[in-house]
Amino acid sequence: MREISESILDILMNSERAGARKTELELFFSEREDIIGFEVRDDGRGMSRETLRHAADPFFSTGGERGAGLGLSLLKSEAEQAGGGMKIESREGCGTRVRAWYRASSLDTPPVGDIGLTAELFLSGRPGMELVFRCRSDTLCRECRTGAGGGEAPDSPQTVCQRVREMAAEIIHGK
Amino acid sequence: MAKSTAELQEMREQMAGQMSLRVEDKNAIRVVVGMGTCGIAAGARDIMRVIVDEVGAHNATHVKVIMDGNNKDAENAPVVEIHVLGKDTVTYTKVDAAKAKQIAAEVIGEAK
Repeated sequence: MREISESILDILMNSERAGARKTELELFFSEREDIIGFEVRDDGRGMSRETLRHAADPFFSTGGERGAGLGLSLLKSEAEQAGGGMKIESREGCGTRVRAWYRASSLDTPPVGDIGLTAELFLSGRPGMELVFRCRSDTLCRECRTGAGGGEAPDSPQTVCQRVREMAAEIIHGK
Repeated sequence: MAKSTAELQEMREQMAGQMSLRVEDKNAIRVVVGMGTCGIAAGARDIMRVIVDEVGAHNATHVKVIMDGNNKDAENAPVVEIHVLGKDTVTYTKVDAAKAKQIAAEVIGEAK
């Protein structure tokens, strides 16, 4: 992938296919630890132990002809190439958590790119989808959300996409 | 179960509403962008953006732009399909931003 935000979209599409109604996306950047990465957590149907064991194998797919089985394996190899890694946790019937991280100073780490566009496309045409977006750095932690749920009133998808862009810029460029 | 005339009338109105929605959906031109892993890696996200922007700019409400997470013709990604009721599906492969703009213009023209 040319951008981390494209990898994020790919993982978000997995969440949608798994029937998720709520998805949490966290973008993290630590200058101190030289790490940048993301975590996607969903409440979809999750994976069995057997599926989870093979989830990051290339060409392994539960989607039959619909899937090439390359998404997670590509993410894992890209992250490892950039001095990072990928971890998947899943429970059948409960949901899945995918975390990928890269060494921030590695030349092989792709730019974060337009994460606002990723959020915008993911939310378009999915009015029932709740997206919680969190940004975390050594000194900052910000959050916004769309859809129902949570203690505070949800933001509109347009507001969330704009906030996602601003928050990502804030933690990465320290603006 | 027996229903009163009023209940039946209410059901009829509800069903009529659903039917008209279905007819509208059928008439919509569906632009499907392949957004599987291979599609995204080949730049389908930007293609989707171009088409959504063009359709929005022309307020073409009869055109529905849809993301499809399945991998279609991965080696020729990005792939864009045009579905029109009663017509064969048209598939565009290796779509770039210029082609996407052209596809959107053609589809919007057809939707008018």
